[in-house]
Amino acid sequence: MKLRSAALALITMALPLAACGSGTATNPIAGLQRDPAPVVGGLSLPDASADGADFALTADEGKFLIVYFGYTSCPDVCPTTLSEVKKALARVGEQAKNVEVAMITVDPNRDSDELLTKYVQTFVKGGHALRTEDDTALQKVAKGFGSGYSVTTNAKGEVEVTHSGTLYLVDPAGTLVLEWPFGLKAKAIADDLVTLFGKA
Amino acid sequence: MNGMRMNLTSPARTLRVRRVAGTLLAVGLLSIGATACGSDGVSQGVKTPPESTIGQLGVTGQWARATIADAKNTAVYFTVVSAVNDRLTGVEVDATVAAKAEMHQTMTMTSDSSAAGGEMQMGPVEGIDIVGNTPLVLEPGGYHVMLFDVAKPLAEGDTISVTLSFQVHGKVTLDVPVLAEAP
Repeated sequence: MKLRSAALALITMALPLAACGSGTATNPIAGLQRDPAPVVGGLSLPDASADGADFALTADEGKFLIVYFGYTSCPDVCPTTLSEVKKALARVGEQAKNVEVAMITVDPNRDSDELLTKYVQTFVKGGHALRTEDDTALQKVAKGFGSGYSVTTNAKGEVEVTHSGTLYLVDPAGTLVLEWPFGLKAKAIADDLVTLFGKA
Repeated sequence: MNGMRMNLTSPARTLRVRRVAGTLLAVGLLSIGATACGSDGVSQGVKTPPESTIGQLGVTGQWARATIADAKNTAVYFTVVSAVNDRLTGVEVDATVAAKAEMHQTMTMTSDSSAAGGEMQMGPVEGIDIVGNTPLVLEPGGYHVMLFDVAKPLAEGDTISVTLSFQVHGKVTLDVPVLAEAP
């Protein structure tokens, strides 16, 4: 019994947002929450979808911001993940207008402003295309999210890219409230968003 | 359906493959039995089976992801069920489809995806072993065929031709439908 109580207490601490969903009180949050939750709202990058205007990595009041680090030459992980985001937003319904999506390219040398914008907006209307050729600035942002990436050229001259497959969710306080690891399905993402909107 | 050939000769085999591949069979089944390789096997690059009971190989659920915006790379997925152990040794597409096709595997670099951000990498693999009667599933986030530098954008509704080379079963050419999202 003691063990079970301890385990319950841990779960409760780890999932404080799961407790008050609208009719989903028993549904755990599918995303992961870090303790302490990183604050990323002070970070910003140029938004190629808005003529390079500075885009702060925080959500507007009453909204959430989904952030994804990827690249457009990515044949497998990026389109798979962004497809789930698209489907999740369709499931969320009316509240989807209160979810913004920003894709940050980790491969700015190959991803032009125009290509990145078209790419992210193929999945999400009005999606933000964050791109900088200043690797120090990009690293700073990635570090803030606990995200990693590398772009190298192998012996055959092929560009090899690694990147975090995670989706990050940021609230209006600029806090990274949730992480959705690669492979999570649209339903889980949508359920989490509905729960969070119920709580907000 | 999508130009796939049906060549199931034995009801018993049908049942066995169906049990293994499950609902994927509903998508379609391309099957080549030993007889399909036939006497023309050599000219098709198909190794003549050492035994007549080599069994069948089925490829199901194949699809290619539509290219996104002006992006040049994409991926092809499918499931292979072979009655005998085999190995996928190569993939080819015509230059009118893409400059190059390679077998790739996506891997997560760290086991702790929560703290480290679940960094993922993708790289070519020389071949993929197939255990008899065990589906080899190429799917998002795992094994896939990567198409480099498509000749023209792939749109939902298109069909492309992809040739797979198997160590035992030789070459199999698939008609692969292009889909915007995973089926």
